[in-house]
Amino acid sequence: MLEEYLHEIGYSDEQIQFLRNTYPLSSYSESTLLYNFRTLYRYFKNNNIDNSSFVYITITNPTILCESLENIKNMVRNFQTLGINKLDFFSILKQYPQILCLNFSRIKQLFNQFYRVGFSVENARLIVVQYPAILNSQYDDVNKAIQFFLNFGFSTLETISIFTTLPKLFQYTSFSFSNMINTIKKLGFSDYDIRKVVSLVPKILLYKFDDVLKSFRCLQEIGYKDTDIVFLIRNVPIILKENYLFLINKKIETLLSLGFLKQDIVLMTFNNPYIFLYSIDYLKDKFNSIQAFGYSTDNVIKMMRNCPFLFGYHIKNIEKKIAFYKDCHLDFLVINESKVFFYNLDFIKARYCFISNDKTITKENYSLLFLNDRDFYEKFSITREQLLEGNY
Amino acid sequence: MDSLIRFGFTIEEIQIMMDSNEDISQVKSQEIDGLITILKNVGCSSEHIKNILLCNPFCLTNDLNCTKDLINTFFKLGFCALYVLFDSNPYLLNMNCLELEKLYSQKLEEGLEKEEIFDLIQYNTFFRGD
Repeated sequence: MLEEYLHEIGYSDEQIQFLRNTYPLSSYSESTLLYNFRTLYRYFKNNNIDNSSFVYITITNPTILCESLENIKNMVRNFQTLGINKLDFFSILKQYPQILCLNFSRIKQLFNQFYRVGFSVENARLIVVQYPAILNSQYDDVNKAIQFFLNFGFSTLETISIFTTLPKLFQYTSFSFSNMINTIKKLGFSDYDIRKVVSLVPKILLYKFDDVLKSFRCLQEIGYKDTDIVFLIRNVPIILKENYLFLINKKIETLLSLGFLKQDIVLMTFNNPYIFLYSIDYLKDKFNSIQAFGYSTDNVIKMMRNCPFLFGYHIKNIEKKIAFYKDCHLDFLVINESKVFFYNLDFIKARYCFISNDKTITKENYSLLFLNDRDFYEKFSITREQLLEGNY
Repeated sequence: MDSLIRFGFTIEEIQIMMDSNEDISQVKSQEIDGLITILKNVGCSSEHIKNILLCNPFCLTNDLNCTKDLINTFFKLGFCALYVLFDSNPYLLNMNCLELEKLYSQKLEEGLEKEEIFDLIQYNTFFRGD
């Protein structure tokens, strides 16, 4: 009867044998075992634990079959007081069946330790849901991990964010963290750089040195100097995320196939490293969309080289700017002075309207549109705010 | 994603943003709504917001409080018409307020005038600093 029932759930013969031989289950009668299995299975099934998870939980933690249902429900209720709802609890249980054997007072102590540092209830919940093994960590180890980051100069908020994003860092010791940081320092990063990069991409601490070095080599091969690479990574540390690294070479190939030279790519990506983060299709579509406005390949290359933000701007934003400069008979600026795309159209229109009240804007005096605020004020006695508010 | 659709982004545009920043799928609707509200409060129109988010989908996963602090710092340093600034250079939204203050002070020490620093910040994303 018991074996038939367990086979239906999905236990193998070996698993059933294992459970039968495990103490104290081995001392239970067949009927008691069957009752316990049925009770637990029903309760877990009602909480979305499927058969394979049930098998995994009971094989990993057979003593759960000795617990009364009331005790298990109490444990669930206890965790709810810490902000871990039923859904989270059973999700954690699937990954970490040992949760039901843990001493709840120790878990409460761990959570209080988090709150003392400044972690919120939600931070603590996210940590446990992502990394349930923390529930069995030693108080001292958790404390040392947090203190290491605070002592290195990370702010409390940064430290909280790092551990909430990547709680498996708690499994490492201060010695490991030191090694990780020294590895990154070898590439030329200062402590300030490291704090910035790690707070944005905590995973970099887990990268193998060889992988980080690969990304460096990849960028060196493009034509960047080492100091440039540190500068780039410091400003856009997300570039070190694995999936971006893998695709960088493919994106460079894409840009080369569109007609850009390597030195163009270095220049453009230095002025806008986010180019590396757009998808290959997006880069191609953007290029083709600008070409569709009637520009030759060479002209589009020239425009994007001079204004790498064109890769990012919404195509309608670009279209409106092109239309404006054409209407003003300043369309030569679009190709020859593509930096005009940097300027917000409302702002340029406001300046254009203001200046046009007094003089016609031509090829000879168009630079008036692009003066900095001080020089514009000196010439026209109007501030940016007054101009934009139409207050003249 | 509902927030982005409600705002008027197409599925293709949302896909483009997610291709660049896969973490967007983890962002709650109220955080996206919060960011849109912040941008509207500094004068951004729907067009500006679309441009900003498509160009810089990473600002969707920045901490909202950090974004608010950044905007307050821009005001403190004398920037105005932030919608012009962010529409021109959406990547500025990825800075944090301490970086901005540090950069500003550094450039002042180098002898740049306020207007020159404003131009530098508006039209350059990435600054050779320390």
